[in-house]
Amino acid sequence: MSRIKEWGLAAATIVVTLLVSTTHPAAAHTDDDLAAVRDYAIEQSALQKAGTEQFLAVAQQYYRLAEGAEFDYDALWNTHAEDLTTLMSDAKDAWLEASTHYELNEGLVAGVPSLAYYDVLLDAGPNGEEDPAEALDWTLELPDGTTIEKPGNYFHHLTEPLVWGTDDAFVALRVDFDGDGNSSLGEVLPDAGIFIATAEGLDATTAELQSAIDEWEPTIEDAFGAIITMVPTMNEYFGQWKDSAFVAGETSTEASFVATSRLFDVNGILHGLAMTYDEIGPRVEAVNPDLHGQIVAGFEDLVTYVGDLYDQEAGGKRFTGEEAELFGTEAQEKADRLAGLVSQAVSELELSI
Amino acid sequence: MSGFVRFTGICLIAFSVVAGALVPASAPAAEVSVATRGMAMRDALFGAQTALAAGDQASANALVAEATQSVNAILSSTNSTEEQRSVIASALRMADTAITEGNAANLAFARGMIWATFMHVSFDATVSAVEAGDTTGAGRWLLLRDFRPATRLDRTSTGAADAIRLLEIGEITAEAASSELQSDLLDTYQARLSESLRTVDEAHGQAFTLSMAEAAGEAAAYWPIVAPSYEMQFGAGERQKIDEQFTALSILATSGDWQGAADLAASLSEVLADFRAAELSPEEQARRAGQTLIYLDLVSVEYSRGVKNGEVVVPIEIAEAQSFFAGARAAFNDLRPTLTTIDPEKTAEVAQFLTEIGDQIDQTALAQTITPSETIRDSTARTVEILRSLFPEEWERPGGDAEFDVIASLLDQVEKAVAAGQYAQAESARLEAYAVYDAGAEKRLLAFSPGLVQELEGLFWQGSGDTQGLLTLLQQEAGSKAIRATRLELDGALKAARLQLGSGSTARGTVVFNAATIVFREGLEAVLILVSLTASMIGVNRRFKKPLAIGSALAFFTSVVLFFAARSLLLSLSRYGEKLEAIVSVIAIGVLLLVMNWFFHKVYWTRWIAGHHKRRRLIIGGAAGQTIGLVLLGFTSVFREGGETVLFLQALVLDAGTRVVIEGTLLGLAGVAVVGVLVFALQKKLPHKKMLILTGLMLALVLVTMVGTTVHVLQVVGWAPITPIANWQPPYWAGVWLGIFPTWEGVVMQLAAIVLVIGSYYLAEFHHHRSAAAVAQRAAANAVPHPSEA
Repeated sequence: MSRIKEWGLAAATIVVTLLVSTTHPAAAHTDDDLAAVRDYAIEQSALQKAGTEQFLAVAQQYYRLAEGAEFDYDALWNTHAEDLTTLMSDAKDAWLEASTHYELNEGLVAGVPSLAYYDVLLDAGPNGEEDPAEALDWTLELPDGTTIEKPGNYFHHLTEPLVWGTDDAFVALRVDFDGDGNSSLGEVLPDAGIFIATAEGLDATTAELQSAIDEWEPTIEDAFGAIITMVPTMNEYFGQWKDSAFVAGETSTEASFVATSRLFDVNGILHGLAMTYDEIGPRVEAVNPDLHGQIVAGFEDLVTYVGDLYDQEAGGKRFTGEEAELFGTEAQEKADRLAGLVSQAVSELELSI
Repeated sequence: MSGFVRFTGICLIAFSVVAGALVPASAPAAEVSVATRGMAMRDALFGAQTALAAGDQASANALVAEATQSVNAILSSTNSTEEQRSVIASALRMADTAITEGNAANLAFARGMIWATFMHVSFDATVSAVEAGDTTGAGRWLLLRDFRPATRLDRTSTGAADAIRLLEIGEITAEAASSELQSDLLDTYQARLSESLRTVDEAHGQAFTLSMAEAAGEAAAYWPIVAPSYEMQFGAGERQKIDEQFTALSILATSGDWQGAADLAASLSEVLADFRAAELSPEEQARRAGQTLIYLDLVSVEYSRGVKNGEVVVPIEIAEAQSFFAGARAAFNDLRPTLTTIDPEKTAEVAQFLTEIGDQIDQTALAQTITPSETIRDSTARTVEILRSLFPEEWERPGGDAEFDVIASLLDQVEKAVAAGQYAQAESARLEAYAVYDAGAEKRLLAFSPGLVQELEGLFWQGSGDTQGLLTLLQQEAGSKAIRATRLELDGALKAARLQLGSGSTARGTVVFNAATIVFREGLEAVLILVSLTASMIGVNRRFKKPLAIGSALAFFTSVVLFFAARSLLLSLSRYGEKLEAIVSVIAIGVLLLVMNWFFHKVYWTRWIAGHHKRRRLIIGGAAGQTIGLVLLGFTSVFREGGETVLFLQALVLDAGTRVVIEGTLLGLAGVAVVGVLVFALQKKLPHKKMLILTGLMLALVLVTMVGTTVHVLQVVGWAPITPIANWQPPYWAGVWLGIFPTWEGVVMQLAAIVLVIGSYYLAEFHHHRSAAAVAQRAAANAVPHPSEA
């Protein structure tokens, strides 16, 4: 990293801090702050929907090609290698688009009771094999009538392993898209039936989430509840990060979080929650400016901290298990403290959450 | 220096400077808060760790120097102890040495020790400020603290902040605030100490030496925060032993003897398991006791719904059983030190039972080994039995916050189930939540705030004001948004109820009046039945008054005995209160219906019977079973009201005091006596037929009320279906006084009761006229012709 870049980034940090610290005078608040939170959620869900629509379009095109080849994937690859390479690249882009915007919304979706169901179905719920009791009881039906009971969540149990080929059950043929002589991560032709069924389900569930968010009339309890619920979950997320391919590398057996690091998700969640606090924070500032200041600083600190880790990882660093443990523990300490401070704010505002 | 480390360092310094200058918006620009300095110190030391890991000793040294500045600034603003300053100074020296030697583990140890010692400094400063009445200073120091991590059933405690706020507005004294504050903070730091010791042990298994070292440093410095409490409970000698072990832990960790450190940490964890730094207040102990019992009860209920015939049939019920079990175990763990002092063997037995139950439920959840529901039921019942024998009497007083905690957990389940589209599951959780409320808080709340009872009743069922009730919403399969709106209203009303019951500030006159009203209402119902029944008992039937009186007297006597019975008996009965009431009510209705049948025949056939001695003997004289029936009727009529009233009064004694309750009871009974005398007097003065009609109507009214109330109770315990009547909300008094609740089942049954009463009357009339006509006809046929006709 060049010195100019370093000082530039440091200056940017100062600017962000200044902005966070000065944009919220201790003025009387209105419900406008909640409207802004809702607008944010609506915007992110619309962007997510654009991604799932694109993902579905790719799946439909892929299914037609496979059907044309009578689901003989060798023949399909032999006749449409170029189309398939493009299609699967588009599928990954669309998936990333949808997933990214979901993550930016996840803090609110998972933290608001009336929306939390969608987090389980889309992103966070276990499958029947992992946890029979906690797994959501739903069935994925494929075009040929085959059914999969309690298949888990759409993003990380179904579509991500399907597109990146980390679950053999979803792989129809391993191929070599880039012609380097190897079939590496993500170079697969998925089973067309599972692809179309999961893409349709993902898009339909995203549409349902959009409707639920449209209907949602956020309360101040929703907003604080989302922060209190989601901030302490960093421990779990760092645990998943430690077990993922980004940390454990070749020894990882995790099928999820191969497309993007869990750190990216954490970043997205924190971004949404920090934005939420930015909106409702003036209510705290009005009753306890010191506490408000510490919460703002806590968010800034945690966001910067996780962002730095993600930047290192994106820059090619592979953390050892011990490093991940150390950084994860520190993140958890920061998150516990932040959640505690927000709980104090909830108490000061005499809210019932 | 690597780019990242340099960048991180620059950002940390830049951030510290900017945040330090901006965050304390209300303070003068030059005054940087201790919390800000504390976090800057923590971040600087972490930065030093990452710099050293990257091999950048210069940056690590610079960051330790940065941390030292923050340390000095914080120490200069408070009266820390010599020992604290000494520990911090030596830890900072250790950090410098560690960097020079490239010993990352010792740097981690030093960081852990410095941070935890600052928590001690902040703890002392906060307590001192509160005791001096300086709430502003206390509030600022409190921002530099650790928190106990939140769990699903236990959110982060805000007791310390609440105490400062209450002190500020003059609600509590400085002494009380200090006690509350210390309770919260000691609880937090004991949890952190336990966590640190566990980390030393577990990190060793993974060979994470940095985590081990840091946790060892924290543990050694958290210990002095809670050590005075340990000394108070176990004596100076025992404390000395633990002090030495923590010193040994520090030596082992800083000398790299990880195996030794892990073994010692495990041993310390075990020794400290029966110690609780923050003595729970009596209210908190009672709350945890209540939580343990209610949650264990729910574990059994949920599990038995989830497992049938050795198969998991409803997995979500098992997940809920796991949640409630976690709540029960957490509550028990908080009580464990106290229970150990009461009876160590029994406490260990409970701990063993809980371990087994927890393992069994977990294995069922993973579909490994399915434990039969009967086994879980028996184990939880046995555990509850031992706990009840262990708990001091005052822990089992009704109320406290435990039941409200459980209601909140169950309402969480309602929302979760609705979000998953599982409405049957949601309704089941709603009924459980209502049953917990109805069996406890409602009875007591009636005396304090009947209006709040009305509101809560509506919110649980058909609605209150403009807010739709939970039942209505679930029947309509409403979405999460609508459920949430009602939940928020419920939360608000439940919070008000908790405050109302917990404050004890309600005017004495209000409690007396409300208690008297309840006694009067329940007593009036019993009197009406008795008056109605005895109205026809004149002349030859007078002897029936005796069995009825015996039954009534027996019930009154039983109620009095119940009142003076051991509290544990009452409490165990109250757990089954609704089911007991349902059973007694059904028996009462059955007996009343039998007697109604007899009553109408008796009333309208009396004169006819009087002329037909043979038939009279058949009906009255030969019916030995009727005597038993009348005793039973007298008993159930009175005990149905008496039992419920006694449970309520006993609960009220604990909340409002014996004298107030006795005043209310006597007032209520006096009212009942006055009405009873008036009605009995009226009974004598009114023409017999009019009196019979009047009492018949009264009896019908009582029957209709009993039917309505009984159907409602059957619905509450889940023994009858519930179909709400849309868009109809009868007033609250109609439910309390007439048993009218807006469900089709209740209303239809009440209408059926009315039809039965009226039908019975007309049937009797029909039989009477037909018989009279037949008699007249026979008389005419047998008549001797008038001589003039001859």
